Amino acid sequence: MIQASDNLEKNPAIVVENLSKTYTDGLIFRKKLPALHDVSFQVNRGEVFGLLGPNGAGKTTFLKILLGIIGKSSGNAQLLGRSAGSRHGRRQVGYLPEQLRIPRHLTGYTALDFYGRMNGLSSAEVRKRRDGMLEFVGLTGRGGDRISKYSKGMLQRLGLAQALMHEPKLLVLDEPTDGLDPGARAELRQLMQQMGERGVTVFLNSHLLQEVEMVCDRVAILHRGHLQYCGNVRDIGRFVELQTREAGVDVALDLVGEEAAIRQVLGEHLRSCELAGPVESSFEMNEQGGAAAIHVMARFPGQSEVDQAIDRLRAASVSLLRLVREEINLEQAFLKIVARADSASETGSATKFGPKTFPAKDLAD
Amino acid sequence: MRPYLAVIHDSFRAARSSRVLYIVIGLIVMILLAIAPFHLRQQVDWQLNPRLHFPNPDRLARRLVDEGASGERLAVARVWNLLSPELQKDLKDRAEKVAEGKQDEMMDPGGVAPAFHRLGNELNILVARRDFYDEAAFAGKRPASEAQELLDRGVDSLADMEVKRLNRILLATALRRDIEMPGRTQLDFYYAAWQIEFLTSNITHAEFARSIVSGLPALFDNFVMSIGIFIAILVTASIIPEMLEPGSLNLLLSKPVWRWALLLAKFVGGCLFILICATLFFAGIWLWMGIQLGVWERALLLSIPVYLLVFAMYYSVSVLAGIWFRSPILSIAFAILFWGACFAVGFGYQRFDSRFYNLAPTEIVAAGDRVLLVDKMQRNKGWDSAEENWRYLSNRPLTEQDTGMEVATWFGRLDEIPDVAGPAWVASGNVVLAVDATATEVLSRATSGVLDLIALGAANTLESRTVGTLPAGTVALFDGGGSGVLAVDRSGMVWSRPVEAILAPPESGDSTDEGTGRESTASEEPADDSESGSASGLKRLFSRPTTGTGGFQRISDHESLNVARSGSASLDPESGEIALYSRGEVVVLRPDGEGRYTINRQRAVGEQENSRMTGLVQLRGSSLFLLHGNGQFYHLDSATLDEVWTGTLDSRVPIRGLAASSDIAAVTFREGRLWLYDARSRGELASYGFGLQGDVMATAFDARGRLWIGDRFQGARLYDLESRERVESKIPAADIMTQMFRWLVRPLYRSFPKPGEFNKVIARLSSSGDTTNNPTIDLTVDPPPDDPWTPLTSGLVFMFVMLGISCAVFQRMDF
Repeated sequence: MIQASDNLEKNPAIVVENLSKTYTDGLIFRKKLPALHDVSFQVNRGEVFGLLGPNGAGKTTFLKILLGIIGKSSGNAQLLGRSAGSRHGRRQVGYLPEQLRIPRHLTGYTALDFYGRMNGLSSAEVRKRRDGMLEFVGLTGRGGDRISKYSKGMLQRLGLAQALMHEPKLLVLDEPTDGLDPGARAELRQLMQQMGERGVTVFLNSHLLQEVEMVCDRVAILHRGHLQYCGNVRDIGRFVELQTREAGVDVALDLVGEEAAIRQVLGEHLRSCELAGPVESSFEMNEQGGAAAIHVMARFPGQSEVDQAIDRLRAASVSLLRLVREEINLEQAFLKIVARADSASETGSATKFGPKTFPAKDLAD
Repeated sequence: MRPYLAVIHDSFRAARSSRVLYIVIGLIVMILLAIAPFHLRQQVDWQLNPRLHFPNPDRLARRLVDEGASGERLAVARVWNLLSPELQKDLKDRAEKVAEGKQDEMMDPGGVAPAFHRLGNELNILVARRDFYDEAAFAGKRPASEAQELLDRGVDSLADMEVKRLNRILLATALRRDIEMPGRTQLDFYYAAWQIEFLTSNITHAEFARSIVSGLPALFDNFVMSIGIFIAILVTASIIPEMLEPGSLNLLLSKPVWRWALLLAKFVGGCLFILICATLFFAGIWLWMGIQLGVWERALLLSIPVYLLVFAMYYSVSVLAGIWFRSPILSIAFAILFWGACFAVGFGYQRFDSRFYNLAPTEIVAAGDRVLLVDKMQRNKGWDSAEENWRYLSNRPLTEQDTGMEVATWFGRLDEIPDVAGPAWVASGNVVLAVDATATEVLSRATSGVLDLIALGAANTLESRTVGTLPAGTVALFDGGGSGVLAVDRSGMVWSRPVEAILAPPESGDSTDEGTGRESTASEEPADDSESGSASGLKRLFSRPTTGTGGFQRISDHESLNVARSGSASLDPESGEIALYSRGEVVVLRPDGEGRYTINRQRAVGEQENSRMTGLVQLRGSSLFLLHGNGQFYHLDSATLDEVWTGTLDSRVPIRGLAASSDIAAVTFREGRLWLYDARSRGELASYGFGLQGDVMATAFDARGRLWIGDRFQGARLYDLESRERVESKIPAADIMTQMFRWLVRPLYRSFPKPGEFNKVIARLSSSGDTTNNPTIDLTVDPPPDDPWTPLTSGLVFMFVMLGISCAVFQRMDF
């Protein structure tokens, strides 16, 4: 089982084990279309979890299996301790689907009444909660308006309100910021964080990586039905480095001193680090009162090499104006993972790439 | 339950906000508003005007005084006793003065004496009284049919105006010739203030109501079931596909609900949508008919659930197509395809059913070692051993009309063709005597009533030749043994002719001379009046005898009876006695020493409320079996005519025939069922499973007490009832039509829903359907509406099956 993350709970919100799904198409000549393949991970209670993947990765299929909208082909999936798709499990779930479509004959209030009663609330309970909920999602005073007069963003907000109406323990959001303006997106991010603080598990399916990076504690990346990564957002860079065997420390330096001295020190040092793989560096030089102000981007084999280089630069009277350690972000990591997975699948070595080759203990340190 | 109620509630919301609903409701309201001003006014003539309705006032006074005061005539006495003493005194004075020739002094300027004005006033008050009609007082009177109809309904249930009308007619009946009959009731039709004159008709309101009620099933079938259902399907076809749109469905399916229940809730929601429209339409029509036409017909209100069920059947198909294809257009297309399939199956079945019903034997005759069949077209068929099939035995050339009739056999049950007398197996002559007539001849010869008699071969040949004619009005033909061939006519008279004379070659002028020498009263007897309605019109025509005895001699001279049909006469071959059923009575004729038949004993059997009830009799040894048209069966002791056993076999299915041996009676019903009675154990003959139930069309016992059964497919089988074994079979090889019907059309029809037959349900639910439970109703004359529960149950089963499949597909489908 893949457990590419730390802090796994004994009583998680979502558990999937070897989950697979294959669609069949055609009445007579039935064609098999695999959508998920042996996916395993878990989501802890109270965390904000992101599911990432390019189009066609199987994210929506995964969500539908969790919610019982489609059946699984094999494996196991549990939702809040119950089998995925069970009515009892779904009772504690709030779901905002992608491309939400609320019947146009409803108003904000009647939509909340309809979906609230579908979740088992009484009409009286819905009436008691609805104004507060509309205020919470920023639709104060619009409850009596017809859905046909709602903008895309208002619909998303209303969708969110119906998902939260019955105070679920798990909130499943499928592309929730779709159609929202930047302000609304920020509000939604804030809301997701609030939910997390309240102990509500948020399962976010989105292709907006920056948002995911901002709000999610952990992420899973699916590609062509295979789980490529599952773990903390902050660890994804190291994961990629390990996976791509591009280990090293990327450092940006702003230095002032004799150019020759700088070139000598860095040149010697970088030459000594060839074992770490291809070494890249660049120099940008500015004249600054007799001494050259030099911006250096360099990759060192490790932190000790960086320290040694700094010591020798200082010994050569080179001033260190700025030192920034460059780290790979989620988007870069995602793109690398996807690109690597694509090339691996083309060469038929998909199984050599992926979380199974990525032991949890390597990242736990 | 809460989520599903929310779905149903949402359907109401959707309906309320839907333009389609308002368009449909608008259309319904427009139709109702358009017909609302259409109303009728009944012109009921009930008031007495002395100047108009007393043609001879003085004679009226005299009658009232003479017949009423003396109590000589009960009906007149009833009128007299209800008059005030003062008026009685005045009338007596008037009568005396008229007798003395002083009446002129009493005249008023208008020509009517004051006493008669007062009489008119009092009679007008009298006719408004609900207690005027006294059964004993009017016992001997035969009021007009309109009054009889009102009396049948019961005075207490009549409206005030109807009571006045009834009493007015009774008054004129009691004092016939001295009080004019009131004018006929007239119905005037109006649209708002404008009278529609061409619709004005001389019918009573009750007759109008009856015609309206009888037309309801057709209206339901032609309008509501076609256009109404089509509109309903159009309106609701998008409900399921809309639900299945991804953004909408995923959210619904993520809720803690059962999928199948969600689908059913949507289905119920769609049905409720239609229920609103149907309720508005039918309740509106019901109110309009009640208020404007005075016809409060419950069938209209009961049409609402029936319509809903029919819609639900179609909608279940639409729902399944909607789930499968997620397209409103395909949902509609499949619903229409389903309608087409139902129509095709129903139409095909009806054609085949009519054809086989009309070709099926109405009579099977055991003729020595042979057996003959007579079909509904009155054609005699003999078994051709070489061909292994039945062969028509006729000397009649077929005409164009016969060809037309042949085509007509596909398009309806030809029950209006009456059964003719015979055939009769005459053992001494080794010949079968039968009437040779095609169906058109049977119908067209109604004016002469004389039918040719043919002899059907001897021994095992199938030759036939015309040997003469039957006496006019002959209903039954028997082998009288030593008495020759016996014929019984409609008046119950027995005619005889030696078999040798019948079979002798014809001499010139033979039959015509004898044909005019008829002395019977039979020909003058009115035709049987037991049938009513247009369906029996041809029977009445046919039964009008004119002249001709065919060389037969009348050998009975008793009072005239009324023997309605061939099955109402039976000869006991052992005793030679003839049992007849006439006007509710069983009459047994016994031959005297000279061979002349006289009435030996007679007895009224069963309820006497309907003396015109059809009765079939069979006299065999010590048993006389009687089967009434209302399904009542009697086993009588033939010597005393006392009841041995009686029971109602079926109060809703018309009888078809009765055959008997000395121990067993076989009753066949029109829908092909057979019921056997064992006279020895006095009860139903147990366990006689022949495997033919539902297809038995005719039965006959041979001389050895074995039972011949003729089935729907023209098979004839001989069973030994003791050993319960089949002794002999004459079953023609099934042709392609028969095989298609048995193995394709009929099974398909039975398993298919029958939306086109829901008019039967409406007919059954309407007030006119009530009468069929009445034991006085002759089911052979007024057949009850067909079994309404078959379309209902098959429709329900189909709907549940379709919904079950829909739920299973919806449950398992990946969205």
